[in-house]
Amino acid sequence: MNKDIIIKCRKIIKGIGRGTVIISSDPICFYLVDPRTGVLIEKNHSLEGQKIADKILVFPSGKGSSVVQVDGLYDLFIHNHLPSALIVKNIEPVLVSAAFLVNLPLVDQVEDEFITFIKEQDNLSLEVNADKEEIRLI
Amino acid sequence: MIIGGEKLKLTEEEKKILDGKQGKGNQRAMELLFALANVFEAERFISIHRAHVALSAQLGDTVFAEQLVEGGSECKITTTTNPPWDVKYLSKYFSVSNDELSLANRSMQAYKKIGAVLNYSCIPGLGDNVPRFGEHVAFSESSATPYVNSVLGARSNRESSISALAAAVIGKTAEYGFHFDCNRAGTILIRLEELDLRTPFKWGILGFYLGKIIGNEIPVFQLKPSVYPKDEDLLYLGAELNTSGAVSMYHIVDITPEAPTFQKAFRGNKPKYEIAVKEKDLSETREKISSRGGKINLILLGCPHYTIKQIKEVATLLEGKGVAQEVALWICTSYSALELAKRSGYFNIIRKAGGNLVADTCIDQPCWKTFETGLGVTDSPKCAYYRERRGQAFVIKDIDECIQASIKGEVE
Repeated sequence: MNKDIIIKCRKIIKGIGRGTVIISSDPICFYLVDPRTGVLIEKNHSLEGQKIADKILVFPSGKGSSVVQVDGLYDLFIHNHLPSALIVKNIEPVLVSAAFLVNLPLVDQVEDEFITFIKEQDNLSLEVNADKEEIRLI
Repeated sequence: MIIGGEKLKLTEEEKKILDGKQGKGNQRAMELLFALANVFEAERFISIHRAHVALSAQLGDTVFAEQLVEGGSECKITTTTNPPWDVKYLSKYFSVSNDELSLANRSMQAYKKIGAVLNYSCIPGLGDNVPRFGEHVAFSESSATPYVNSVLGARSNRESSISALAAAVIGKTAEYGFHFDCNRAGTILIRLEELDLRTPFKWGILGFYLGKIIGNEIPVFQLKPSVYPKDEDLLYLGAELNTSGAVSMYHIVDITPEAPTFQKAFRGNKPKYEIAVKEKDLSETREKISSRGGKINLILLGCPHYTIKQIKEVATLLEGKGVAQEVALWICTSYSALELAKRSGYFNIIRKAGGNLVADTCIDQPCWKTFETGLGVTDSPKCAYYRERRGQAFVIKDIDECIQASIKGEVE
């Protein structure tokens, strides 16, 4: 894929985030990320033991009850372990609220083809510009 | 400068709120409702008359409530709240840090100032705040949202603690998702004809198993004809569907109000796919999410809050027996069920056996950290799932086995 290519997305929460990509095949509950380390600690999860802090996190959807998602992300925020941006497939209201509270850039409606492409790359870095509704390789 | 979505039309008053003319608190609340309205392509906001807020006495939702209070916001509608922990009562038993204590007090203060009803219970749909069939509401709390949607037939989206509070101070919510009939139709069929679903525990395991598989589909359950789910069964089902997944709406044919028949549950559509659940799926799920047995130090019940029926059951199982010395048995419940337990004699039976009942308290609070060096037992996958983060492993068993474990001091 051409390095200058720009992928369209939809803005949900504004902002710009840069970082290496980490992809989860499972939905994520941010409460089960250790705020002191930014490492996901949920048993049997595809990202168990991996650090999501400062990453561009690509995942299918949020999950978990209506309060812990918000508190989980807020805890990561005060410990400086937030991901740098979120790219989600299926958006739901709780995730919108959680990202709103901590001003974390959040986008959806990214082409499946692009997600397939980034899954095949190692150590890919992206810039997610929610304000411009654009994603580019960096 | 905020630019409106393509579809959303704001009234003059709503525009004023967004521009900050009704104070900074309402502006912040409206910004969140506005973001949700745009994401889900709502065309307008609708008035609501009740909300339930998942107060958690944790930092995230407390900070948001404080921002709104400082900005001059107040609840415009009846707004009930989730449990924090009973600071006065439990501080006698457990040591918590000053930070933990002050956060709980800060949280309760903020919700008091904003004008919420401090019922501190996660099952408002059973008594404190009961919406009518077809009523539009904003209910957060994973135990509460599926219950009011599916069992009562009210209309709520899967609100977060802070979006429900935002809706409460504005008195409105964006019209999208479950507020429309067409989005409430069942999408998949779950066959349960082989299962004897007799206890909340088993319904809970079923919910946890399915939540992981079905994501955010709307399941329609077909039961074995002899099975009749009680309130508690439905509470556990919804809480777990919405914990391991994001399911806030389900139907049970011939049981829940929008599913008088199979066809009506799907509103004439065909299910996308079907799953037949077997006993083996449930036993394997329990095995997978439960810790291994051994000596225990805690039995923690009441996630969701125990009802008076469940308290009676514990009293029956414990009557004339005693909880092992090295073990604590705690049951979290609502203030009203606690009062009923006292009047009906169950409270005394449980206390005499060495067990404890506490109101206004959630299992996911720092007061329980006293026990984190040992192994716990619960009948709730949701309890085990959230306690995992705080560092205590739990064995998940049905209620009779939980009580047996409390007497023996160990569990298989």
